[in-house]
Amino acid sequence: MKAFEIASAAVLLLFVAFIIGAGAFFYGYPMNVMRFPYFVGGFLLLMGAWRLRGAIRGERLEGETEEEPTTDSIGEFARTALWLLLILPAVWLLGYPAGITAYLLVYFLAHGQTWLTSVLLSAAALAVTYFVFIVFLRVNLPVWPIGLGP
Amino acid sequence: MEYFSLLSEGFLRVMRPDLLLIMLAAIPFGLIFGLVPGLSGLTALAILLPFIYGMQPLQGLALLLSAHAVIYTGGSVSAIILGIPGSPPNAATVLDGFPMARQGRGGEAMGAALAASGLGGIFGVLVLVAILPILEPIVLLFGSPETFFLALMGVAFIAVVGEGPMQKGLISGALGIFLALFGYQSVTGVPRFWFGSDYLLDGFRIIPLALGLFAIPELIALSSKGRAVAHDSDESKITFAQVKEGVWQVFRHPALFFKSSAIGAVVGVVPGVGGETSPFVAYAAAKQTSKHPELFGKGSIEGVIAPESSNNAKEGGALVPTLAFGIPGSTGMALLLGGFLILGLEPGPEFLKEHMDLGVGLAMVVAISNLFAAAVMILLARHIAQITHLEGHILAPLLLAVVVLGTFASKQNPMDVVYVFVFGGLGYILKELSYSRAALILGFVLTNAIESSLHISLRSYGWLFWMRPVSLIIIALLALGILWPTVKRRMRARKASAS
Amino acid sequence: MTKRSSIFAFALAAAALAAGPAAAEDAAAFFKGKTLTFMTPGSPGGGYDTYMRSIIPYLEKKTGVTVVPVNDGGGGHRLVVNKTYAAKPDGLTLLLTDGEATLAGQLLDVPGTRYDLQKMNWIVRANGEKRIFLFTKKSPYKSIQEAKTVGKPFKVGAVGKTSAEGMAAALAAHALGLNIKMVIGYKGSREFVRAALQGEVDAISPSESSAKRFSKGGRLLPQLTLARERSELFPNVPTAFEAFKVSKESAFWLDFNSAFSEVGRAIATSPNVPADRLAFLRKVFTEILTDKAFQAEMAKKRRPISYADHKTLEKAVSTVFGALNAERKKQVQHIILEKFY
Repeated sequence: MKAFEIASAAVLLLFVAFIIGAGAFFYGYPMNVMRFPYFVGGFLLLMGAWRLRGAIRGERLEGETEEEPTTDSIGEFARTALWLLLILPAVWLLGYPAGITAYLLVYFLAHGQTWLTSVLLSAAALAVTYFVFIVFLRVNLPVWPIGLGP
Repeated sequence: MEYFSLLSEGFLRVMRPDLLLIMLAAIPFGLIFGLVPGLSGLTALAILLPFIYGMQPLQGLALLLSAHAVIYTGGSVSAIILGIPGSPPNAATVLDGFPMARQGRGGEAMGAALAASGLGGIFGVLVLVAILPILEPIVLLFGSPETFFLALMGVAFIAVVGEGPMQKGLISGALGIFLALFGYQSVTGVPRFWFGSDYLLDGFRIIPLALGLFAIPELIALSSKGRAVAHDSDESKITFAQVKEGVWQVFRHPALFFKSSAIGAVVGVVPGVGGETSPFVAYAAAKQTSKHPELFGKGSIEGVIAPESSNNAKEGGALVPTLAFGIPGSTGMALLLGGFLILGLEPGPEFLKEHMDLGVGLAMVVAISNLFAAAVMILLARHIAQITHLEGHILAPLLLAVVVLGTFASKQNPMDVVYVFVFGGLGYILKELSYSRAALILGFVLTNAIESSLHISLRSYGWLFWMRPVSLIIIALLALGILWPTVKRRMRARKASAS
Repeated sequence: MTKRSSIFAFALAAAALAAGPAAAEDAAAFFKGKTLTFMTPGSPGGGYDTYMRSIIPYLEKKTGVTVVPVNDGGGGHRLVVNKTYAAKPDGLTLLLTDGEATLAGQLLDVPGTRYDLQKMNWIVRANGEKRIFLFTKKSPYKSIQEAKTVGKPFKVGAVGKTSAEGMAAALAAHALGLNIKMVIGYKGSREFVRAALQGEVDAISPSESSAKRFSKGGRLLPQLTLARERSELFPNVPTAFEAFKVSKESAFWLDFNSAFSEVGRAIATSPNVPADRLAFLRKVFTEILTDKAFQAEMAKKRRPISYADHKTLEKAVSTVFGALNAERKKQVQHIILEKFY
């Protein structure tokens, strides 16, 4: 956890510095444009530095919530995240209705649900996608898989 | 007694079968849009807008208003059950509502939230009707300097008093503001930090940000071990008795309820800021004045009652500048204003002189919708709360699908969906390290108001823009709100040493 | 297209071929059953949105399309112009645009502007309004002549540097030699009206219909009409030309200002759309917007129609861009973006 705290504070500092630097030097925005970003960025850099110092020293802050971490290991986090991210290529390659249905089917089956449950739930999702989003809300969802369609 | 005759007239005016039917149709619509993460309440209004063409004024407005009034009621449900706020103002409810759901007390939390919402909405309306005759001078008290300080107050409060340590809360709030600086900026006309990307020309969007920050971490939690939301609880069923208990809790905390609703109604009057800020101010005020502040953030019922009563009260407040001036008190009100014009009406000072009865009628619509929505949801609460016992491996992918669809539906931009995951990563980190996500969201939402109003204040009034009566009051409240616990401690210590 | 409409289209095409050149019928057949995207920068319930949504049912009825409305005010009302400009040139992407902001984007080289208005296909104009210059009751001056004579700066409120009312105020102030201080950052017209009523700013320059609404009850005092002719809504308010002695140079700037608002809320589609489809769209929209019943309906909603055909729009656009050599262009940029800030 301590490493996490230090790393996050460091990344924050780098991010803010990079953006402010880009604005000031690379793009050369005039003062009236950068005034507020300087103010907020400056505040963030100060607070971030303070936090970094505290993290390195391992200080405990008043009001820290003592909850167990969501995932027990980097491996578990990576696996979970990848499973969630899988929906992106699914909808990109297959279009939203087919992609979501396929994703759900695969997810349910891979995580121990019965065929019946998986198919029923995926079909229900497809119905909702079509009737609620495409028909009722008239959302321009990409419907066709890549390369197919008109 | 004119006040009561106004109220009763308005009430009778609304008791028409066609209006009641319209409200009956609109309320579930608003509730669902408020409830489902990814579908924003404003989308609901935008969808209803075409339907009002050709309707009579009171009918069309009743349709829009009753849907709008209950959005935050619906939003509180997903905030409690899933830890995902239905809309940004519901983010304060997550702080205590979601821990309660995890402890298996989701039914109680919902009961309290719904009752607080319903009653708070009615309170807001009562306040609105009371000040209707003197709306104009009140709204005119709040100019750009006041907007600036109120916005600042909202962020400062939640940063200091919200979840996690104060230092991290302030970083979150500031980071939220910083992220909002990307993109096209109204004051100077220059798009900042857009790096040549069309997507970033307008900066980051609120829906991918809010969903990423709140939904993705919960999805990771549900999907990593497959456990249900309420895995900490021993029980596996939510009973109606629990919901009822939650409802009674509101009645057991009358001072808290009235204070929070009052904050909502008053802060809601301020155009542009009131909507987002009031639940956070109410939450902070509740925590600072509670007998058990240490319970906040861990499942304190007070932490649910405060933001929810203020959330709905503020809509009554937001109606004030909308009717009095045609200046929308919140984004939802802006849509409503469009509705007025479409129906051939013109809100403004002259409007109320001629159409006071319509104004009161609308207030009644809000009151009745709130009551009705709360009642319906309370009856359904037990069943909805069962979601907290649904297996993570079923809930997670379904919720993910809803989030993805809802995000795409908001602006029809596929990049938004990608950004949900980008912000999801950020949200996960913030959650793990106890950085307040509510502070980030609030900072993000209020930046435009903060920067613009600061710029205008400096330009119009110079460096002494804060030396105005209302601004000074707000600054004093801000300081008091943050320092109150310290003051209390010092006073107690002094009393102890004196005796 | 559905099977039925495919057959219908085929039959129509056959009949058209038999009847001789009738390109319009091909175009009509093309649109039947298609999905058309209609974009506008305004948010739901606002002015642009109301115009668009009021037109849509008529458009659908006359052409058989299904319209998907899109609201996106991003990029200072210019993002939707980018999208329309880059859309497929099939006539199925329409835009109801904020004329002034759109012109400004190209004129002032605002970052993120990716269109050339002289290549856009203009269809019709829904509404173009004159601007009225209003003082607030709390302003330091009683009349605009007094303001000019005394010469101390007074504050004018607007949404942004390149917003319609902001540019109008800047150009007018430059033309008439007024010493103004622009205060920008308001989120919309109602915001700066609120500011005007509170005395946060001293003057505003909204469109005539907005000015009419907000000056009810004598809270705001109309001073000038920023055009060559008086406004029908304000018959007693003099034009800038009547109230001041206007030199040729000043007249140039005042007319330049008017050309901007000539475009107003205009409907356009992407470049390179086939001529027959373009002609069809122009015909349909002209029918809709010149229909008396429709005009009355819109007037009731406080959204009046002031129709102009595509030729007027093309002329206005070329006036704006044609009037400027490099020298003038630099002047314009200075006046609108720097002079009064």
